[in-house]
Amino acid sequence: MTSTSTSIAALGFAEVMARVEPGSYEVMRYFSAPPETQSAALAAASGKRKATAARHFEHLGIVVGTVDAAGLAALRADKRVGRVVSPPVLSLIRPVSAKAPDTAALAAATTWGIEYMKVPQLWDTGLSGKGVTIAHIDTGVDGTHPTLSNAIVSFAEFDMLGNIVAPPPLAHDPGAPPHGTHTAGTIIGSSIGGTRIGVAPGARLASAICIEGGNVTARILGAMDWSINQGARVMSMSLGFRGYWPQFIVIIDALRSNGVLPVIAAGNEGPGTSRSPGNYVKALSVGAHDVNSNVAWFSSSQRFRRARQPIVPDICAPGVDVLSAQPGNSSASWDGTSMATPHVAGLAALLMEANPKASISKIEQAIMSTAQRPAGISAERAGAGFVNALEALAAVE
Amino acid sequence: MPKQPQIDPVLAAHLEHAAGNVTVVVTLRRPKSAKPASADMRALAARVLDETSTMSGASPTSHNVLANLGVLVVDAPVEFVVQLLRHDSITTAALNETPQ
Repeated sequence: MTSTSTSIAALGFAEVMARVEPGSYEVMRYFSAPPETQSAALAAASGKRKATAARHFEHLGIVVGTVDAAGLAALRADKRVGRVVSPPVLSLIRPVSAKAPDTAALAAATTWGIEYMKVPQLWDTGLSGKGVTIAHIDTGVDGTHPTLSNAIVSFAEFDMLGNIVAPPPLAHDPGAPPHGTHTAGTIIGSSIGGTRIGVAPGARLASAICIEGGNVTARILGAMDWSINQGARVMSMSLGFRGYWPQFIVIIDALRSNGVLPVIAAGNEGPGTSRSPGNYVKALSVGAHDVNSNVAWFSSSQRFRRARQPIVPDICAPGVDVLSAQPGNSSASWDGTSMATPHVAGLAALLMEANPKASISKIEQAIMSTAQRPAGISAERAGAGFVNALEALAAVE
Repeated sequence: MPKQPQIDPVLAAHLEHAAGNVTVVVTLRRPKSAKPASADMRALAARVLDETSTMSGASPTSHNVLANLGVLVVDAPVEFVVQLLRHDSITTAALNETPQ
């Protein structure tokens, strides 16, 4: 180990980088040391680690720069480096796997996830999500799919500045990217081949195309802003920035102050990872579990240094082998926290119907406080645990 | 005295070398006491754009106000964006486009 790396490590820096083009890497270093010490470390790092074009933000304790592959390897090899995260890459949380549904799934009365959460017991009391609008921030949806007929009350597409595209897009395009159709089915779908797939089939969906075909921040924010105008009380979103990017905490605050509960996927990058804004304290973050009560291997989880809700995800929901709709009157079973998230958004709608006067904080607390963690499942991976709709209903009434 | 805006370091670094237009997403300072009306946020956004134009001598190419969220999206020359980030009504700023 060189004296340079020793001096940098002694500062306790947790740095960060990602490839931005072949052969070079964007590097950001977070220092906890005083500015003058950071400067000394930066100079050392620039020399020994081949950093170029470094920019030092001493009051933030941050350096942004570029190193080559050798410099990156040296940083990664330093055992005293706290962690490595990516720059703010915004993307859809894609399913980990997708397959045709098996005959057993299509023969069941409901999907395993709906049964596992005890949602049918809520349906038996007459709840369906009626009167609640859920914002669906995704890739668009095939509204011609029979399981979604009459469920989508508004639809919009957003351009690169977050403006609504006019004239309205093909709101019922059978060629829509499949992700949004799958997640919409889990929220409000009726049935596929006799199997009920949607948690809140009586709710209304306000669906926005704002990811894929241009992954920029303004498209997502445009969709969120629009959701408020649609009267949404729940937002289901299965996308995010890899890592922790605090710039949009104020956005989540704004959603909540407008009465919208943000239900957001934790990510599919496994333990020690998460995405923003799902990893904010004020987001209800969702991980995935399987039918055997195991947290899915891909389900993101991460502990943060904060007093409130330090663990992401807040809860887990069914997210493995989830049967739902696909464009063109088709169906598929997918794995992902994207599949778990709409289960929770649908449940929130059922609870809002049960108690229309309940605040979004009360709804959120009802879901979290009644989640259950099976023996052997750690809070580090599952947060408060696996969602129990029946218990959540009792807590909100 | 307003707090310093929280500027995404990737944006700050980008502005060091950028030429031409940059598209940024900024959040506007919201009153702490109450939920601001959309009309108020639109008025604030218009004022921020006007004052930034005056100070920088440049004008935005296009912009969008997301009034419910208190967000302003601006596509503008670098000199305009640099001046915008100094405005005391800005609380956060980030590049619109992220690495893919």
